[in-house]
Amino acid sequence: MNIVVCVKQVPQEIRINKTKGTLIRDGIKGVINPCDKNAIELAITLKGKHGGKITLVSMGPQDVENTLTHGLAMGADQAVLVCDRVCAGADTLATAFALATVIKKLGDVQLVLCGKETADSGTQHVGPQIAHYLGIPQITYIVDLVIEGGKIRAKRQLKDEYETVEAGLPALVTVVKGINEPRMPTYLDIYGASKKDTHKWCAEDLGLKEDEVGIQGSPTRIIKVFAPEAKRECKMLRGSIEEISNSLVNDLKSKELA
Amino acid sequence: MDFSYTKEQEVLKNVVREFCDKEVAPRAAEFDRTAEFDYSIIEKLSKQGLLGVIMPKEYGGMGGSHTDQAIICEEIGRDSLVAMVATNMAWYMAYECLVVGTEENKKRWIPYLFDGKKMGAHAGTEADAGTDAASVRTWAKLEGDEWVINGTKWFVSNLGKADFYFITLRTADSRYGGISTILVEKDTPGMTIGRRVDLISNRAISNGELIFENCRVPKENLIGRLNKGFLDMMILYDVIRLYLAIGAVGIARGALEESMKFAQERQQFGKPVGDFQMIRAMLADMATEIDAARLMTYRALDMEQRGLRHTKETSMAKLYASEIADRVTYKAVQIHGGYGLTMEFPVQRYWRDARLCSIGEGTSEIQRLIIAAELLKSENIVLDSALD
Repeated sequence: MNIVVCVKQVPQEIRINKTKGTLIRDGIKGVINPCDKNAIELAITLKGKHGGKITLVSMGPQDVENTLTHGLAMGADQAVLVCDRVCAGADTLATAFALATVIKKLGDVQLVLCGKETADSGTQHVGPQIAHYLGIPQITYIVDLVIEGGKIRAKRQLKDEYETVEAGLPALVTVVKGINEPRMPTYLDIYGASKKDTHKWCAEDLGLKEDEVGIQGSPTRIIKVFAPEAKRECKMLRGSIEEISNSLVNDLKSKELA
Repeated sequence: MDFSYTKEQEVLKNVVREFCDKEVAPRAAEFDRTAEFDYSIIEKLSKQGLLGVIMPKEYGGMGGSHTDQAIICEEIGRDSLVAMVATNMAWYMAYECLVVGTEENKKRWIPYLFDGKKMGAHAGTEADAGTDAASVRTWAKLEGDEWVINGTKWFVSNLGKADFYFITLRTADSRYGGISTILVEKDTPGMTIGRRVDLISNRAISNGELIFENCRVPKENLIGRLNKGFLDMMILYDVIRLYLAIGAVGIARGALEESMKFAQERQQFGKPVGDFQMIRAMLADMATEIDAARLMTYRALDMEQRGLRHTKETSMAKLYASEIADRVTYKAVQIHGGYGLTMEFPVQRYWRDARLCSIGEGTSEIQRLIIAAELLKSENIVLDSALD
């Protein structure tokens, strides 16, 4: 069972330049996307049961190697980093295309795992888009996964319910944060990781054309990035218990909440 | 000269941060309030292979670099200086044994001292022997195959929590040339715990008096060379002081990070207080001093790693880091205004805890004397006398 886990490096804290309406990345340390650690943990559990090889796949600048080292220290076997200037500024579609191309090139991959979303943009697009480019089934938001007889059975976490879905292999799943507790690598794991292979591939290695990747290959245009404003209103109710409860009920009714 | 982290060190820093976010940060205020540290953190740190990484592999360590060890200490110190001091107490004595111990000492004691569980303590200070460490009056006399110890130690950190104590005492009637270190295991008859002291700084490290009345320990408990204990102590201080310096950097960084958060959230006159120039100037000075202190500490650790003499550089780093920790935490309280004086914000704890750094392991005044002696190549009141 060869597994690919897609990994993204995200800024340690999310800060927005309010004037420009963009995400501040300069000077903020990059870390491994939290959900991706859950995906790696799941891959390690599956490898323990079914054997095989875990490959981490990522796209980004040179320093993403640190993030991949974290994943290798957790227990992945090798990593591939798509690192090329022409890939910069990619939207989710161009990212998914590049990552899917890596997965095709690797070949013999039965399962692709992604985190449900990334901490910086949270679109939840990339997983499903990779599945589209690979032409394989996808199961999103999974909290449990069983592999039996060449099939996967996954439990999806929906808003108010769970759904169990079966799919043939190869397939892609996206995992939610609650699925497991990602392991913390030990000191020796960290130093052991540097002995594992991290392959750096450029667009040319993957046969990607300039207009398929990076900003040129991205149909999305971001107009503005902003943090949703959390508005809270506090209203003190005074009087006897009866008066307070009456006024609360009336308030809720007037807002059509009761 | 390259002080950038390797990719492994970047990961190490993230992993230790993750550990601290989970195990240390949420409990730091509780340790301070109850004056009790949770020693189970040490076992957890050990399971991650993060305890005393500079110890060689043959002695159960990781054979890691001083920079790796400093990364770990800074991250822990960022959340709780108490946690850093306590976790260091689980490997310091083994390191001491490694640096100054005889071959028999190392074989006999390091596996016992460094097992990821046991805690050590160092008992040097006495009522009349603080900065003037060579004036100790606790005596050990050899009777047959045993040392017989008499005297009283004071300001013993980890009191009652340690599994063993390294006692700096007198073994001959010579001021600097009669000092030795003897190991005493807890519950040894003749060693009792006396008065405990209530501290304002690093409250969760228990502290107080350790009394010896005809306490007998085997001859093999002598650590290092007989009567050369003072010199050994100085050699050791060149390294150990750097770990308090990096702890000071950690605590100052904690104070800065909390202040940055507060300055961006707290609104006055219709805008975040961080928009005001005087607050910004404080933040800029804090960040600059922290960076300088860290680089000075790293330089001295790098010299240690390369086998160079670095007494002056160590004292400079220790002096500067501990004094900037004082200034930075003071400013952190200032930026927080009235909230800085409440127990609900951590900066008051950083401010109190930082105060230890310019007093413990050689006061700022002693560091200045050492630096000046190194500069002027004049008599070093401590080292020269020990070498006599």
